[in-house]
Amino acid sequence: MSEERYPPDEGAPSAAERLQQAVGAVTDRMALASGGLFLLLAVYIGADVILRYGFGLSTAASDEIGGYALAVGGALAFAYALRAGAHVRIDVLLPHLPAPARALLSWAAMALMAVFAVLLAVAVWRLALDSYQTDARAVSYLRTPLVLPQALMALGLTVLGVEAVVSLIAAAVESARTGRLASPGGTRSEDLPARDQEL
Amino acid sequence: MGLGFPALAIAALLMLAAFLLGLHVASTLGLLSVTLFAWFSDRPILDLLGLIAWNANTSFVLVAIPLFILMGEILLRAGLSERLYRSLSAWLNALPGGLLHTNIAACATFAAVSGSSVATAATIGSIALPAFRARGYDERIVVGSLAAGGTLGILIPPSINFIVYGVLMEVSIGRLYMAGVVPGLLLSLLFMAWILVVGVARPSIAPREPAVAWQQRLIALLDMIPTAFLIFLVLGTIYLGVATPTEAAAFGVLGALALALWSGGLTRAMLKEVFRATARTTAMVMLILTGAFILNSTLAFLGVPQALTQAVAAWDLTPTEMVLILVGFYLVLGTFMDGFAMMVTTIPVVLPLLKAMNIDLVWFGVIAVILTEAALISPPEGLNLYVIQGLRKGGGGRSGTILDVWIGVLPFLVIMLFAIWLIIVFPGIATWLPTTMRGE
Repeated sequence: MSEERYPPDEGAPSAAERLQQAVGAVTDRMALASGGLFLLLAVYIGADVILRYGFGLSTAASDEIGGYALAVGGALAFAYALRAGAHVRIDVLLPHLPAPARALLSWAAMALMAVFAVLLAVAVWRLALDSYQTDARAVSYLRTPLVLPQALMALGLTVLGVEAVVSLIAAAVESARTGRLASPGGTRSEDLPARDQEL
Repeated sequence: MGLGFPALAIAALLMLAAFLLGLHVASTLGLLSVTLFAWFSDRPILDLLGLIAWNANTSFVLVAIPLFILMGEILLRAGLSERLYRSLSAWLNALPGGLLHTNIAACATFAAVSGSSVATAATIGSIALPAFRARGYDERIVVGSLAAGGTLGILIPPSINFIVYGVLMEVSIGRLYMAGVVPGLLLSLLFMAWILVVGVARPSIAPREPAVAWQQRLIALLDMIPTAFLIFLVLGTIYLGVATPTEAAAFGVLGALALALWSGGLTRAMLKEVFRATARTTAMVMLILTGAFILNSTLAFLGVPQALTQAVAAWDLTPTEMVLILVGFYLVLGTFMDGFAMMVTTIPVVLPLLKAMNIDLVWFGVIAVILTEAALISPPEGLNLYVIQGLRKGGGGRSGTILDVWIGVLPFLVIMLFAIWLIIVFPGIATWLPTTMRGE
């Protein structure tokens, strides 16, 4: 059940819109997986503590597994949060600027987010590859092959980069069609409830 | 090596400009740090970047963050807060100021199961605002009390901001939590005292509500049991030393889930919304934190903390003067910057200053969190102002402009400053309770 954030204006959706919808469907599922992962983690940690106090048993691995879940769960949701407009931008000046300047700054913000995402993705993929080649394992009795969580984290960062680039492409197509500069991510700030669940 | 102050100043100005232009905070922190690093060092940046990102994202202390977010999202939809609000109003209604006191008390109580100020303002605001409709209360003090009361979410534990502060400052989260309890209660009482004073001085702002019979008040207490149970589950276990904050957060999630199940609110569709909202907020926090850790490592690598430590000795300031300067700095920054982003961005620079002056980091953490609260409600920019304004508009009918909220929060903002002053003059307000913890 993906949310239709970008209903086509009229007629059949363009290729760029279809691409954006396809990426949106993927990021929505990744967000559900991320939330579900944290729920499973809570059940696991809760059970671990109860077993520790009640029966003197413990997996003694909740620190390690919790860390992996955070890295993977957070990264899987990066792209979804970008589309939902949840990544913080200071909007003290933005609303007072003329529309073309606002669109230009949205382009700059989205482009820099793409660069940041790609940089991080490359760095973490290299880390994962390195862990794979040297068979790096956690210093715990689980001896977890680190490549597994690292590759999943890198995957989340990669999709963040894809989401940023795809929204730039869609904005470029939209700009060409309408003849005026469109903001990447469209009119999302008006569509969605104001950053309602942030800190 | 050796980044001079001019370079640091240029970096700070660039960062400020990027923030003001509305670039994402996370990417600004990350990219500016990488640029600084590449400029002043010839070490391969990519290897370090991967390690920094990996280590920042796998810290077990930070695992508490998504769990507390998840707990809050479940509670928002579990119907717990309606019962809480009704039950508190039965006790507080008869005071001059009427239902306004319940706004503060409900926020303070909900804050004890919520780690976020925005979530607290949104949860209590969505219940309170309809209750005030057509009752003859002064609109400004209604919205002001909700926006300000909501900020208690991060001062009264559990608190996501204390977790982040604790990780960046390397202080125990449990001690920070306990340090926040008394100041949180103090701030709530000060807010209510103000409402009482206004209620007596200008009776026109709030109608006198009929007193509720004692029998009904006692019955209303029953509705508090689920909340009390959750508070014990989360805070009691930390205080007694039974659970770490992360483990307490896991208990909180399970408790919230049980309550949602009991109230019949637990459905497939609800869970999906909970998952999406949790994913969204967690991703927001973790991406900014990743950027902050990159900045942290870069500054450390360039020797900025040592340079600051040396410089601060030359400034010849007393610790109190230092703290007052920081308070002023954060107040100004908070008028236009998001409170969370503000703290995460500045802590790497502020930490060496505090350490050099032997300032108690737990005590300062409480002040920093109250300053973050102030940032959330200091006009013109402040997330809580917009949360409450959004709820007003969403309620249908005619509603005033954001100006009502701006004016309404001002007295509460002044009270926050007064609370900071009290904590500076009487540090024990913050430092006493942590000393009574088990294992201290």
